[in-house]
Amino acid sequence: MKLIRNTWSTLVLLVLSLWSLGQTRSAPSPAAPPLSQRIQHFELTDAILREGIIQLASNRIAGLHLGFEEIQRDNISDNPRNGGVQFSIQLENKTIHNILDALCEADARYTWSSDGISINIYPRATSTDSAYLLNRTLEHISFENVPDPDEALTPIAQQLRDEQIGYTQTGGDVAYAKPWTASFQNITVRQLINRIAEHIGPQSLWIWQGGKDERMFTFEREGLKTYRQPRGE
Amino acid sequence: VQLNVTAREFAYLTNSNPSNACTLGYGTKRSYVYNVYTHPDGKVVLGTDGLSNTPVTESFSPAVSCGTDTGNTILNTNAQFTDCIAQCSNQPLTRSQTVTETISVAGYPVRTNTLQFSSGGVIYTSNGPTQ
Repeated sequence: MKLIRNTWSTLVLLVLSLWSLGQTRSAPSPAAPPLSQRIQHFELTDAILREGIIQLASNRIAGLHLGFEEIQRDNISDNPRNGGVQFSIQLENKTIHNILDALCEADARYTWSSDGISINIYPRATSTDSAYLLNRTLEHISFENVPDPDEALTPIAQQLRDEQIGYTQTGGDVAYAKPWTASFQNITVRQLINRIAEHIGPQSLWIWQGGKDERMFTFEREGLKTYRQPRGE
Repeated sequence: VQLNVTAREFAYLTNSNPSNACTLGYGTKRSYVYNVYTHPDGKVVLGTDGLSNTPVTESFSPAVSCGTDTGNTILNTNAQFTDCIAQCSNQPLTRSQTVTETISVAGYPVRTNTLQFSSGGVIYTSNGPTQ
């Protein structure tokens, strides 16, 4: 028997704790459009809507692009659970469409709609508000070699100088595979943010959140992890 | 056959020192690129070690006050990962909070950072470990 002596052979032992999918289990069918795909089990307990959206995104369904606009708080540092609607739901073998309906029924301050391959969830009260940032229209906008979604916000801020526009990110990496150059005509800010997020990859999530004076976009290529603060903190 | 085997455990990180990439006028945006080191050998994990897609997770204490969510990431083909820390706006920032970020690779805690959110953006301080 041949003797093998490796003076410094290495074996890396890993305990790969895969992403926690919370209490959600999915059975995505790659061929089906995202809205028609079914989630085997979707459960939320004492949740607010943003947690439901993030849990939905955590299913990692290819082609699922979500954008969530949170109702503005008084101050960006306020706990999003304070003053929000908390609810519990348990859904079995429902489509994404069904789940979005259930979420927006549970917190009726919100509604949802589709924009191409993106799904937007936003405050119902803003639906017809032309002054609301995400409803404003840009006649023409161009990006040249933007490296990530955050940088794509700068041309928007340059056009809408009367608006506060910003982003926050705590971890992760949303850089594009290659710098992106594009131009758009007669597009709403919501549609544009959708295009910016869709360019991240086959799945994306963006959230617009914060206070009346400081509202921030956050982009992610897959599911985000959200931190639940007890109400009142 | 005699095979000498050394188990390596994810132990600590080193990070790049990125410049501020916030172009909106107020705040900071920095994308830190991390290398992962192991014990007991103290060697960097290489792309050839075959550990791409190893999960990298983060936790924060206390919870980030504004409800900001954090993205998870993975080791890339070079066995590195990037962690973007940003608070950037075209108007002055108002958020103020200090949190401790704990980064784990495959469940092994390998770094804590202090993140101080302020009107100037995010001040980042590594608390190690460094070896």
